[in-house]
Amino acid sequence: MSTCVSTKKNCDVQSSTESKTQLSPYTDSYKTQEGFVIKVDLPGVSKENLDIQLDSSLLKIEAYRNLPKVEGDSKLLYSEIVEGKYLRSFKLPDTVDVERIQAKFENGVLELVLPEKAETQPKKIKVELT
Amino acid sequence: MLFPQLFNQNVHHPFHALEDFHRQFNQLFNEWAVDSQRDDLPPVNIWKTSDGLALTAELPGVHADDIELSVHQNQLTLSGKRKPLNLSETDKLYRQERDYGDFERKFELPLKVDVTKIEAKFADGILRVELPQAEEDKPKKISIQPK
Repeated sequence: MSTCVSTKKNCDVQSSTESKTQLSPYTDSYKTQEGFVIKVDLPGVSKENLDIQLDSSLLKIEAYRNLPKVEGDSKLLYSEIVEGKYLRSFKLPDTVDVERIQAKFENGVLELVLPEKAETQPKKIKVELT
Repeated sequence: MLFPQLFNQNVHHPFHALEDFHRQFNQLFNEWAVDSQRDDLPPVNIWKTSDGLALTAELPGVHADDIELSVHQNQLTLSGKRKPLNLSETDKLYRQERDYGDFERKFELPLKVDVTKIEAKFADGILRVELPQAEEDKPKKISIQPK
């Protein structure tokens, strides 16, 4: 299975339809003033096959990706895309307000917005001039 | 001679050792990169269909307007651009694994394609291109007349 992807040689349909391949999706993460943003590439995943779970502070993303099919009777000639399961976990900082986590899935990209709790946001203190 | 001795290559030099380590590390990394899926984005599958050929390509986060397909003689070119993260000045990037910018891949098609009938659809970050074989390139049936 892995040889099919890594050597980029032609591989037969049999090896590509193996369903146990685990894929680690490419991810970007950044900090904003309000909290954190995580973007995950999940091409070929439909909303129904995407599962996001939060267990205490561990955020787990699981998604099943079917082999993108073409219409009608077809035979795979060359393969770099395989069927498999995307799996990735993130340990969230304690400052994240888990109640307000938002997920958006568009165009094969999952975007998670993780706002921080209000009390962890830096407070502005007004200095009054006397 | 004292000096050549001093600069003898066998003399252990901690900085050179570090450089060597870096070189070896980079070499290891580069060798891996050549064979990795990342090296030539986007990854594709190519299919033989009853009507000709089909291509599926992974293009997550790319806008349909930013994808370009062209066929010249027997060469199919898939190119485009993935827009970078739209970070504000106060945002701090932690980790970036996703690739941004221009991409281009060329494919030699093993059969003649009817350019006017090429169809492309884009959904869930997957591009599907149908490349029907040109009529004149299709095998022809020759009827045999009875004597």
